[in-house]
Amino acid sequence: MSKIQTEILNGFFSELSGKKEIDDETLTKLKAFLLDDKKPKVNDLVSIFSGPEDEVP
Amino acid sequence: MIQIETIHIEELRGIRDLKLNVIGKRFAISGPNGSGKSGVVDAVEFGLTGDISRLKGKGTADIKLSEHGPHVDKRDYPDAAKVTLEVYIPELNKRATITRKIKSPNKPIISPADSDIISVLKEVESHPEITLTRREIIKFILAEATQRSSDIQTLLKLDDITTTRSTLNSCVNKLSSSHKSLSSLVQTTVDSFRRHLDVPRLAPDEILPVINKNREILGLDPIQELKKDTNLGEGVSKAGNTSKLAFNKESAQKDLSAITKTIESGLDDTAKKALSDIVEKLIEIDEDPSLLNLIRQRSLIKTGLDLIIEPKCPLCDEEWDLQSLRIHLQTKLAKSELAEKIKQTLVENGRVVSQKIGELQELIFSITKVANLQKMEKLSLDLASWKAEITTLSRNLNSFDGILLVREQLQNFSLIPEGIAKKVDELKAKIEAIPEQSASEAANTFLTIAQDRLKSFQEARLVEVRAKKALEAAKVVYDTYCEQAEAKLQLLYDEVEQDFSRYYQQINSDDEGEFTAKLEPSQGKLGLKVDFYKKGMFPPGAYHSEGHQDGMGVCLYLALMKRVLGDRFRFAVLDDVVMSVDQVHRRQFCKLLKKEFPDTQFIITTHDKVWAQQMRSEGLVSAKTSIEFHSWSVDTGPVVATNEIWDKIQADVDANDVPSAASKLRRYLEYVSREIADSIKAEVPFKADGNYDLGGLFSPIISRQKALFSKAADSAQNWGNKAAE
Repeated sequence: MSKIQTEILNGFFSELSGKKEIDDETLTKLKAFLLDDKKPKVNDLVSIFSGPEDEVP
Repeated sequence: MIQIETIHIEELRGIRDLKLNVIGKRFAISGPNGSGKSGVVDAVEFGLTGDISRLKGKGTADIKLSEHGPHVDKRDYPDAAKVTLEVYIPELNKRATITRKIKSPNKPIISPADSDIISVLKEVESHPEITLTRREIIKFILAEATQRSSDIQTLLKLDDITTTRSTLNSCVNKLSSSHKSLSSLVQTTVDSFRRHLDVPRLAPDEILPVINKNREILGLDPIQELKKDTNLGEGVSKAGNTSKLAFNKESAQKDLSAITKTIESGLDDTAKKALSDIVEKLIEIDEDPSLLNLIRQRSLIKTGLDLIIEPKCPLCDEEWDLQSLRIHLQTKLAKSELAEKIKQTLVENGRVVSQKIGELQELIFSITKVANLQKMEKLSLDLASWKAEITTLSRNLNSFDGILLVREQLQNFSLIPEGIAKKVDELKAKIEAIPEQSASEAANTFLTIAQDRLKSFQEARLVEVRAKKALEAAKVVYDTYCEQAEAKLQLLYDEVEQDFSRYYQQINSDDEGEFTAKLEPSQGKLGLKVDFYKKGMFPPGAYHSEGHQDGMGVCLYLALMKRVLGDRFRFAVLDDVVMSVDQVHRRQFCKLLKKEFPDTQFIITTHDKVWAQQMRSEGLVSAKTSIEFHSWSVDTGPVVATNEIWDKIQADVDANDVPSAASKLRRYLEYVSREIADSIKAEVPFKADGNYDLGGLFSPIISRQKALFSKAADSAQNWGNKAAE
């Protein structure tokens, strides 16, 4: 991974941790997904966001 | 990163067997053209990366590393062609040896095979730009903006930013599409529930009075508050009244009225217009099949453009000039713009029609239940088949390929299958004929169906809310990444700009000490404009000389490398990169390397003897940290010259070749005198041809030296420093 991508991701994860839309579990999965050197697959990313939701509105 | 300590090259390119001790931070290799310098550069690059970039690119279509990497006499023995590098890794304070053979360039033998050493060498492998030739520096300066953007993005390893951004964006689009479908599904459950209750909107103050009126008929307690786990049918008798079997005449009649209305009116005006636009565009595609090819090729071309990392087609491996291949694909991409617009129109309208027909699914499902209860099996089957057809059609309408799959169905579109209307009428008549239900039976089934439809709504809503949350989260992630990337890239280009300008100012402090440059990124392009003597900002090739452009190229390269690797920029090979730069500016270049990159090991090659001497006189390299190849032959490879001029002169004297010794001595003294005259600012009578001989230089140097010593003695006397005086 390039130096600048690492810098971007550091700032990105730090910024995301303060966002109400992103819970800890999603953040952990995102980190694992984006820090992986393999080419990212969209469907894997979609499944990170479509996690279980217990609350009935 | 690494620094090289020794290089051992065997049977590679023009070298038979050569061992070099690369001592110090800067190491110079000089020699006339064809003496084997580039062979060393190729070997270093091969040893570190497993590749030789000189064997790629324009005009190298028939050249292959496996065939042309080995020495010409060892073409059939790629196992014999190898490079062994002993390296020092400052960040680990470890030494390692890496051996790479032409036979297996991607399988280096690393010793010791520690994981941290392998990791560092793996990183070096991904930086072929550590070897720089003049051809490469000029491409940063004179390339057109798209090509420069591509080259610099590759150098800066920005490809992964583009990939991440694109993946995050695709994720948002997928989740958005999914959310739209689910919202549409929720609306159908809302319509179904609202129709059953016969209320204008689904709100507690509308729902509860209707529910409680029916509960009162059954003597059940009223529901005071509608909560998420409220059961509208709580206390209702379950005998023969499950959600599957419950039949409420009034509710069935409302559903049948709704479907009859749909059968009579068909699609609404918006959906009709969207369908008409779809059909129109499908006809356009039918009439010009090349449009479909362009649409299909577009995503292939886009992917192909991303995949061009070496000068060959990523599909057929045909060799291409990198720039020509990119331009070829970009031209094709531009031609497909119209086709892309047609595709977008189809997909946008497809979504409108999909949503409308999707809304029918819940209604058909309700009618099917009624038909089942009335034992109208043929109608049940027809309705199930209709629902399946609508579900498939709705799904296909959400994508371009799906629309093409159902193109015939769309061109002869009929919302209502043949015969359904008549059968629905029969069912309607059958329901009409059923005797009115008793008040308690009606209330009982009413509440059961109400609860059933509330549950359907809640389930659909739950899924939709999840999808909405997922979409919102993905949007936040995408926006945050873009903000961070944009800020960092801007910062990066600002830093590169500043360093580039500063380095260039240092080299050209005599006439361009206030030089500035501007990198202008915009949508896949990277413009470069430079100041020309305060007359404005222009492309680098507009007014600057070739020598100045070379200087810019090296400065931009150094600025980029500093940004790519930061403090870990510890090694680079500069292969004859300042050959067009004049002597005055080369001196400044020496100072630049020493001042700005004191910890970086540079291997510098040159065919220019003056430049080789100048590097030594400027203290960039020393006699110990430079070598000279004086000749080359196929059988011997490069022959290393003795480094010291005095050794050469002595050799001539020993051979009793006094004229040769005298000639060498004179040429050397002339060179040294010119350098001394320049450094102490001796007052040499000017010669327009610049041809200064030893006699013309010696006297002014001695005079100037005396004057300087005299000034020094005066200063010492003033300070009272007797010893110095």
